[in-house]
Amino acid sequence: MDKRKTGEILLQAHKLVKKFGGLTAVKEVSLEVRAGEIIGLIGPNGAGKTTFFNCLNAIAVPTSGEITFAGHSLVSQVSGASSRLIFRSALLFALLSLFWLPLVLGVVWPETFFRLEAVLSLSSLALFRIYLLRPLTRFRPWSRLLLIIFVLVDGICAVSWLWRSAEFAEVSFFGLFPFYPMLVPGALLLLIAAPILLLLFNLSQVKEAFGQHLRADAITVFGMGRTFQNIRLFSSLSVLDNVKLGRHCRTRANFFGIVFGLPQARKEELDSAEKATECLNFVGLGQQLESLASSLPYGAQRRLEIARALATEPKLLLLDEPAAGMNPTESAELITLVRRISAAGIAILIIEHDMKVMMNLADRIYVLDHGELIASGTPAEIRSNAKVIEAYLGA
Amino acid sequence: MLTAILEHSSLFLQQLVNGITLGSIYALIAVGYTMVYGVIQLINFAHGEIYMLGAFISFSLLTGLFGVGLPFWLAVLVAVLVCALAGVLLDIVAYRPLRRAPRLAALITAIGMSIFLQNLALLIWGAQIKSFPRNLIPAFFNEPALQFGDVVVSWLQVIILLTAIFLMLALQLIVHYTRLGRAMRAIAQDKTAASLMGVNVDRVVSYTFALGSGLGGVAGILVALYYNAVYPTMGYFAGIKAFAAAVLGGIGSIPGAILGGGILGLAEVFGGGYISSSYSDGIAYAVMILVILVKPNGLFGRQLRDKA
Repeated sequence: MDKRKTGEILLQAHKLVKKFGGLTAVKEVSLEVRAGEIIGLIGPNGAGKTTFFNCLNAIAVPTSGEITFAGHSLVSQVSGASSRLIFRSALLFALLSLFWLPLVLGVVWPETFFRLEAVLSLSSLALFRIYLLRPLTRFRPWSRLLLIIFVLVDGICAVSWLWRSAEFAEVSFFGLFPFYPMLVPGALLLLIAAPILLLLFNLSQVKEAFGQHLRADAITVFGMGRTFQNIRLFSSLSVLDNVKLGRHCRTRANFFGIVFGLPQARKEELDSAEKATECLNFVGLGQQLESLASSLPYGAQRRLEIARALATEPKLLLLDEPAAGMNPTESAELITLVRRISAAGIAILIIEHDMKVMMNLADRIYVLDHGELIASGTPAEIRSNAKVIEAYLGA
Repeated sequence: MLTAILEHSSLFLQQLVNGITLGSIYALIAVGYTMVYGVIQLINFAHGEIYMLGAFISFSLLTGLFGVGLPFWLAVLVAVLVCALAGVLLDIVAYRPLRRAPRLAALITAIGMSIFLQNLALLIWGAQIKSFPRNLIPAFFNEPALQFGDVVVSWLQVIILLTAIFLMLALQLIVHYTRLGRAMRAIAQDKTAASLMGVNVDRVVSYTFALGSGLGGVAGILVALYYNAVYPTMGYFAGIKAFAAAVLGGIGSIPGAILGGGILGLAEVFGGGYISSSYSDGIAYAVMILVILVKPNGLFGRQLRDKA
């Protein structure tokens, strides 16, 4: 049954640029993949095809341009200036949090007179506040809200301490010096810093910056799977474990569930073994679950990589020269496999040198040369394109 | 030689028992070094200090928080959790910002954190050696569990050995049969590929630190009970010894660390017993050097993998 129908745009790259120092590896490449399509990306060696893939996966950070995948913008449009601004204000907040510690100590627990346990519990509290704000540097929207809440709470605390400040006249800091002279300037500092931080985090450029930085694993969760030009299997893991690793991002068991072997975590483990076996059967490796990945023959390793990528439940699969180094029989098998994957409703973006493979597989083909997009269209159009013929046969 | 050993068989057996006890503690610490090294190729020199913190925190929890000490087992549990958390914080504060820096930078930071934590303990708890009050730890610990003639095995020694065996088995299960362990092994091989397969590398590294530091904390508590002494520099010496054990077994390999810990513990105790107690450390290190001379990658170490 053919589920293939070209649907909405899944991946769109717009004027993507990647520079390495003075070398421009990818020059303003625009490309789109619709759901269900098989798209080819071809070009001579060093044309920037793999670099382009790396940009899609956030392995390499694009110099400029935009990528939208499944409704998410993958490239940060944050300017250096605003990210520096956010970094510095986060640092300011961290310093204030550390300063806030002795103040709370004195105000909340004056009767404990700064004993070890109070110091320990409050320092962990202060550190926990800072810890919660880690995603600030990754521009996650909720971390910005959290910071604003923390800052507001600090402001309220500072006001109430000043209000009650007379009560702390007697308290001394670790029995060393009176606490009162520290409380007043400390509270004032918090009061001054609070509006500054609030203001900074409500600047329009800062607001805009949030929600745009993504790591490779987050992009995989959105549904972009990939294989590699030179096979990158986890060679000392078994075949099954390699594919189960692909299930990692689709399972949720937390640290305690895993360490104490809670039923939910164990059930999930069985589920992922089952799903992984399914993927392995799909690529025809269902018989070799326990052998080491490195012990498989070359063609099987390629298929294992595909199975591992399929286990992440991709919407779009990036295949980087899947037929490289294969004999004609193996590459014919590969073509069948790619068609079956496509029939299962997964869009495919494929890099391939072998023109023959490409011509009878791809719906559309993009041609890169020296980082530039020189042609795009159906296989028939590409075959007769003068620039493509020159790039492949000339030089 | 054989007759000499037979004549002194009770001494020999007693040394064997002590050696195994010490060895299982070294193994517990060494596993922490080896796990972190396996995953991010960092020698976490501050690991010994986590072990020291385990001892101190359990001591503080027992002798009185808010005026009331916690019951023994609860104190142990909380101390282990605090150690795990301390390990995670150590990673986040000191190592994570340097993940992409040259490896030497992280190594120096590790040494710096070790010195920092040692001095922090000095500041909080003071330099004098502390010992657990007898009435606060279960009384049966120092009673003999087994006795053959002159050879005595105390309950504490039995507990140390059983704890170590149990934790090692649990760790092997976690590393080989769970989602977390699989991610750890994958990151050890290829961080980029793992992250492209949807593994949150930072989180898994944090969990690795939590596991290793938790085990280090357990070792710290056990040692503090065994020798009944807690002091700020205890982590330094034990840390170096456990590091040697991890290297001996092949750093990066968990079974290697367990075996290395055992060998080093036995070498130290037997060397101390039969040659001279003042040379016991020297003998332990000499054994390590001999093994490394013969097998430069350690007993279970892999050849440095080539990028194939």
